[in-house]
Amino acid sequence: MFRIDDRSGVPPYQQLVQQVRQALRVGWLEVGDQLPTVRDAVAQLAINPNTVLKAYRELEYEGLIAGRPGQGTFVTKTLADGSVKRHAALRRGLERWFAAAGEAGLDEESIVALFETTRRLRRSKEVA
Amino acid sequence: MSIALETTGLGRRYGSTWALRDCSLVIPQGRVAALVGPNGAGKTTLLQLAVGVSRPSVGRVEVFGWSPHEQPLLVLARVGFVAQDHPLYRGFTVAEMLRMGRKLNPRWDDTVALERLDRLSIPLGQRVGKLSGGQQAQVALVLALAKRPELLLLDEPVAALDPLARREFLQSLMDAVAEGGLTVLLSSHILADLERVCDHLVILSASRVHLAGDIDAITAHHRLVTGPRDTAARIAARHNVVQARHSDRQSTLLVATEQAISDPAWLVEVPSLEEIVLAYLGQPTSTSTQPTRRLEVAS
Amino acid sequence: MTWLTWRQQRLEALLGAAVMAALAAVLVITGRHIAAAYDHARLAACSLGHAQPNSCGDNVLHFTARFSSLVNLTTWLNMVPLLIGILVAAPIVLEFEHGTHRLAWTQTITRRRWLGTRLTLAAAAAIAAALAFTLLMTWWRGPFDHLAGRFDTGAFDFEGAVPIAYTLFAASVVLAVGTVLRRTLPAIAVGLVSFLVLRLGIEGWIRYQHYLAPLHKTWPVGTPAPAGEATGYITSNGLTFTGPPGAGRQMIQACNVTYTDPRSLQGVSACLRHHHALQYAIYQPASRFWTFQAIEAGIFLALSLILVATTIWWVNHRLT
Repeated sequence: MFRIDDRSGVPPYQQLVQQVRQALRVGWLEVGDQLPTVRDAVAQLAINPNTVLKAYRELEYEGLIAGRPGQGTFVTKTLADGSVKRHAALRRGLERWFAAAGEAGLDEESIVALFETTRRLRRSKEVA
Repeated sequence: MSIALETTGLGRRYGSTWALRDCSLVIPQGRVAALVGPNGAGKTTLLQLAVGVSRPSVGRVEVFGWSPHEQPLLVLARVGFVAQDHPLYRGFTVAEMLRMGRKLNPRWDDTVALERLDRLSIPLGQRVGKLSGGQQAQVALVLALAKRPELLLLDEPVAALDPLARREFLQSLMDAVAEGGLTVLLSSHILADLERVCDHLVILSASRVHLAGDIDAITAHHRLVTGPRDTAARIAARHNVVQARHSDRQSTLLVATEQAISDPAWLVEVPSLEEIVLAYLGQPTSTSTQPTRRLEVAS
Repeated sequence: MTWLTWRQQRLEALLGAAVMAALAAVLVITGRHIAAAYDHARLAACSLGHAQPNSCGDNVLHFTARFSSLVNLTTWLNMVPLLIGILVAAPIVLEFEHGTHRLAWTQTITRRRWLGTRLTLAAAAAIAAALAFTLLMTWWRGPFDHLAGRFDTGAFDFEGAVPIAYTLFAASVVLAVGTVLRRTLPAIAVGLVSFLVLRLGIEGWIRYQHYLAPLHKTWPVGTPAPAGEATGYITSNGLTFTGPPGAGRQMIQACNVTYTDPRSLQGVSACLRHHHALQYAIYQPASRFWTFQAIEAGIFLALSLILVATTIWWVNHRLT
């Protein structure tokens, strides 16, 4: 269920957190589903158990999952509610932006470069 | 925080060449620590000093507070060691290797060994020399783990293995870590596996430690900054530059810093672990101008 | 640790045992044959150095000639101590060559105990095999020794204490060189060369000439030789006499001497005595056999001790 991308530059625990959140958003994980045990995740991915523990701790802090002693870790909240409409609005905004960029003469690669640069600048302001 | 391995000014000399020098580091208990560096950097020497196969020329090494040289049996009972190329007695069967372990180690747990070998589908009656490279590495790991060690030292355990065998070996290792009570120090010159497996890092190059600390702390203290070439000197003056790369108009610097970088002309990013390691390994071999970095654990 | 040492040397031990068993079989079969021939010819009364029945001369010559090629073959058995030494030392050197000593040293065992057990068991095996070899050869050579003494190289090298000393020496060389170089084949090569050089050199130039000064004796022709001469090691012997140089040639012509075996001099002994000729010999008497054994064994054992001490020091202080 999980995968770790060595080359993405994103720390492994964060990749796990993102994958759980994504699964919740899309509906692959629903409230009450059990997450893999630390040992199962470790056996499957060959990652440090602390990585899994850290990811689960963060998700638990966000209220998305909870551990039941002796039984395992389970999903307590989903991210799928109400976001479809928000996403639809965002998607339409994106479509308009793509149209504008195309009219301005940007090709596919330039669009991606512009997107990436802006994203990195935003992130760098947060990090610095 | 308990300490599994501590070295103070540790050095080892062969004739007039120092294989390891000025090595002072602390590996806390419970960590999975990576020892990275190019071939000949001193990784094997450090591991051999930790287990007592080699004697210090200068300085001290302590494992759980004991000296491997002065209290060898106390240390060896708690330390598992897999040497480079995982030496095994080729003519022995797997069962005979277990018998050796049982006879020479008071803390030997046969059920651990048998259960692991069974899970890996390695037949007990097979001669060790006839096993594949990956299976031999697994047998060497099982032998070390069946001693119930508290510290496991591995010298390039996956260097000679194909990708699948490498993955399987690390799975076995991580499973043992998940059981609890184990500190691991493994050396490698392959960076790819390290970030997913390790939470502590020691960078060794030209017989010296260049960086040591928890990976979280290291990542939090390093930044990759990109900006105009003409202001690079200003950044370098205020922050510790590990590596600098310049093109005509642009400079990219890897800095180790605790202060925020506020210059808006500069793009600041979190470097990947691989970028940090390569930057430190790319430093000139005479590091007299650059003091060794020692980032303590931020727990 | 004992089980581990045995299991690691199992192959070499079985190989050595097989070779020794084959050798023993050959020696026993041929030895009984020789002993039977000896008894049949009633040679018990024919040992050198004391009065013999007249039948002895021809019977002894016949017996010696019959088995001379077999005795010459035993020269090859000088390599047996070397072989035992190699078989005993090679497993330890192979450990260093393959790096498996690091596997043993990281089990819960001290380096001293590991080395002590391996060396003790190796030495015990070497001594046991060499002792068996010595006893076998001493028994086999019984008839020949009885006739001609034990001092000659064909007997001295296989009896007493020296085979054990040779074996321990061979093992020590292979062990010491192999520990320092961590390579088995060069260690065996050095062992082979040093074994041959030392054995041949000592046997050819030092043993009979220098352990103790040889005796120089003369006695009248036809009278019995001094005790221990015939069964000792004779460096040179023959006739000597007092008188002007030319008299020697005259005497030889006059008495029809063709020198072969001292026993054949009996025929012309009256003539030679008349010319005041004397028999002489430069020799090591048979009574010095055990003294010489002790000296030679001492040399090889001292070398072994130095080599083993070097090995122990190297393993404890230089090896990783």
